[in-house]
Amino acid sequence: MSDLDWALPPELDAAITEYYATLEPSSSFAARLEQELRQRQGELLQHKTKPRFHFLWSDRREIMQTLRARPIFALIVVLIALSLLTGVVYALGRLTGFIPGFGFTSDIRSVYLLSEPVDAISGGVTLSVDQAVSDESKLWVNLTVTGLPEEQDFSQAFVFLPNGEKISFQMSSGMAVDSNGAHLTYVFPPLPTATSDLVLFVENLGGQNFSVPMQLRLAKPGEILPSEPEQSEQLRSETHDGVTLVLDHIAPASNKTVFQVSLHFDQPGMSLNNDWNVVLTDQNGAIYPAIDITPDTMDGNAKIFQTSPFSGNEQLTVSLNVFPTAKELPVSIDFSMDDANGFLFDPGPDPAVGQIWTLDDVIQIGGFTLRAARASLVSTTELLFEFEPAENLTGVMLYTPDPLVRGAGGGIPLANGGISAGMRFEKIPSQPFEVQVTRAYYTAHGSWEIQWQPSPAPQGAAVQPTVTSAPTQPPYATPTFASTNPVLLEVQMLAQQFDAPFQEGPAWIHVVTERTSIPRSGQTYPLPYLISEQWIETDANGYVIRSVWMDKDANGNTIQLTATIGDYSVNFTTGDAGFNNGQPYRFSADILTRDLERAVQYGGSFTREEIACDDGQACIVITSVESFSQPTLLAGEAQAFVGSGNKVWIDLATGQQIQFQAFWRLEDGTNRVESTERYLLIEKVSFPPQEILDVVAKVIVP
Amino acid sequence: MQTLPDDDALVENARHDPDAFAALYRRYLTPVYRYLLIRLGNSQDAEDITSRVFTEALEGLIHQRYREGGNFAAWLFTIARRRLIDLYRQRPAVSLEEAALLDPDPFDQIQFSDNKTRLKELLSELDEDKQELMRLRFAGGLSFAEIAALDGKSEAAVKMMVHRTIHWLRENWEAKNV
Repeated sequence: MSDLDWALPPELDAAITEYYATLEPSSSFAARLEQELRQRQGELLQHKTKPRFHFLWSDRREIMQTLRARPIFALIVVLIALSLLTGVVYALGRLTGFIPGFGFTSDIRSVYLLSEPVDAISGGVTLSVDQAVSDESKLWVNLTVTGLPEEQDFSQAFVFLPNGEKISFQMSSGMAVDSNGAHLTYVFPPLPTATSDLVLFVENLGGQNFSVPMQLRLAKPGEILPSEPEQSEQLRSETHDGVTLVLDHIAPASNKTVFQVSLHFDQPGMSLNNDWNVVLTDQNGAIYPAIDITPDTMDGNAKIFQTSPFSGNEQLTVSLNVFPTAKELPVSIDFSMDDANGFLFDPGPDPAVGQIWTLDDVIQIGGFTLRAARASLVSTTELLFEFEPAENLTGVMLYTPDPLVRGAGGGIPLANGGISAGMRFEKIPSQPFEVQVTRAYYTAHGSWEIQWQPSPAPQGAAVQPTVTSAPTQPPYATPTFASTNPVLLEVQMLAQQFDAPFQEGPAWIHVVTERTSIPRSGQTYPLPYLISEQWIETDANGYVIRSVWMDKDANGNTIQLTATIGDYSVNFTTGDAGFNNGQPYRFSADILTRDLERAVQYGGSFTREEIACDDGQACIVITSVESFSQPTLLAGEAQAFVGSGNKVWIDLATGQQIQFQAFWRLEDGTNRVESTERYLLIEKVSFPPQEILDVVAKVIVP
Repeated sequence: MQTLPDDDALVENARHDPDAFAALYRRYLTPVYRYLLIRLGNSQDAEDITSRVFTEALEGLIHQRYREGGNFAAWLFTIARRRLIDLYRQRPAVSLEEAALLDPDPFDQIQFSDNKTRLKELLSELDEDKQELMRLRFAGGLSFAEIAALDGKSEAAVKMMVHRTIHWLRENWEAKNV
């Protein structure tokens, strides 16, 4: 390969470079998107930090924070779930129904399922079709792939019908990898009625192509969970600022209730610019964890949740929740297909940087009245337009058909409550050009609630919801790494010494930590100062069965409240609910051992130093540092980061790890502390305060 | 010292550090945007999809959907391709291939020099695979290894394919000038 001749004629070389590399994203777009990403990351990290022992229970953290139940792939699971159903009667007429992994289908009598799983092997890669569902809306195919040389995200898929017609897939899920292989879902357009034979062709999976004959058959009664007769006309919220919450489908079973909720908008092009959840409460304020089981391939405007079965006596409320404020939804409307949405702007023959144009142009768009107030030339290629404040409007995105335009983006709020938006040009046009509003961002205000009187769950299982503890399950075995490193062994021994009394139950463990951090530019969470309080109930064997987590700010205001009952978690702040796939675990205040194991295993460095702690007790400080392969010089920093590390203080008498510090290592060898967290209290008590019991009593699990 | 660290170091920190993700964003914004702009033909859609790509990448990193030790650039462009397909799906009358052909080329709006016009004509004679290869290599700025990871091919095969395409362009460059 080394002797390949890459030389090009200079003008071809220049033409290639210019052709592909002339256009740049506008600086306003780049800056706005970066800001949005920073904000989004803050929100995500906030969600991520709910059960937030930074290093503690690192394996469990994944489980605890999985707030989406895994899609269920295999037909067998469908059958097991439905085997609990008895007395299901198919009503006359059109009936919707729920199929795990697939979602709701519009007519359960015209659904075709895979007759039997089929495999194909090529070049050491095995492709298994686990399930296929064909209904009026689509063909859905779920695959497991094993033997892939490396994870791969993208491949093409087609189905071939008996008449030779080739149908390309419409969309695919990402690959979800677990111990059984890589799971992948393809969605195709609907097949012709009663299609039972077809061939699935998947291209370029691990370098292999697969051709898999599949046979479909009509679904049998009992294979699909029927929905209740349509009630959606009644089951909808009030419409506020163009947004309505609708309860589309309800499929009750003896052991659970599945329901689909969707957002409806009163204008085309509208969308919600944030993730959303629903909170399910009854007339007594009890919360039913609504586990999001939406298939990856579904539209983001609809979600499917699974919750408890109901007795029929509940008066339920389904409430839309968007973090951070449920009553303020960030919504946008796309007007790119709308022609009459702009105004003419004349920059004049020789505009100068700093020049300001006073405008008085009114645009009526999507129910909003926008008044352009002024424009300014902020650089030789960028114009900034400012608009007067308009009720609820938070931003606009501009565009112009002028050929000199090189980019246009949304803007930022102005101090007077108005908004701005920029446009970038190859050079500022010398002729008047039309400025169009292609998207408007606004805040919808309201309370989106649906009142729902559920039907009694079908017979065959207990239907009275109860506040329960987690069922007994095999203990979670903490993986251990065999090492003779003396520091690691000492830390392990000290941690076990401290944890031992807390791993004996039954008891409540009360933990209070304090965290200080230095927020970085754009960081919104965690707050610079947080107090976290946990109440953890353990059973007779020391396994955790219930817990409450509260984050409070410096003034004692609750920032976040999460309760976990057995396998179910509910975040009272965000409305998220999660199912944790049941791995019993004991309380541990050991944050360090796993990090040290990793450091030993992967050749990281750490040091041990004996010091006197603040209270005069003998302590050791363990410092571990991970060096970057290259120094990182970030914007706004005087020095590059050459690594990151942690420092942990351990009380030699009690074995307690009392303080944790995360830092950046700078190129001059000094450290810059990022955050410090320390235990203020760990105690074992017989009972928690009543308010804690009230919190956990509010959560009703199946 | 002014050089930024490799992707792996940034990716690891980007899971919890907005500045690290911002560094990745700044590194890949222009390549992703250019690639999308050339595929889509208008800055509005390109910005829209670029936003989605980076938002999805951010969420993917935080939710551990990115495999440790993977190829971040290839992963990012995989997301970009998916979102392109989504967009084409929303325009059901136009297939992916047709859309690639029908979408107005952004450079149609530019007064081309003769050389660029020649190149554009030449590129239009390439099949879609080769055009895509050129976009990934020169607009996306991907290395052969990154394209290989993206397309599930060997690095050597990608390198050879790019070379053949370049060779073909070179062979036909002068002829086009006649």
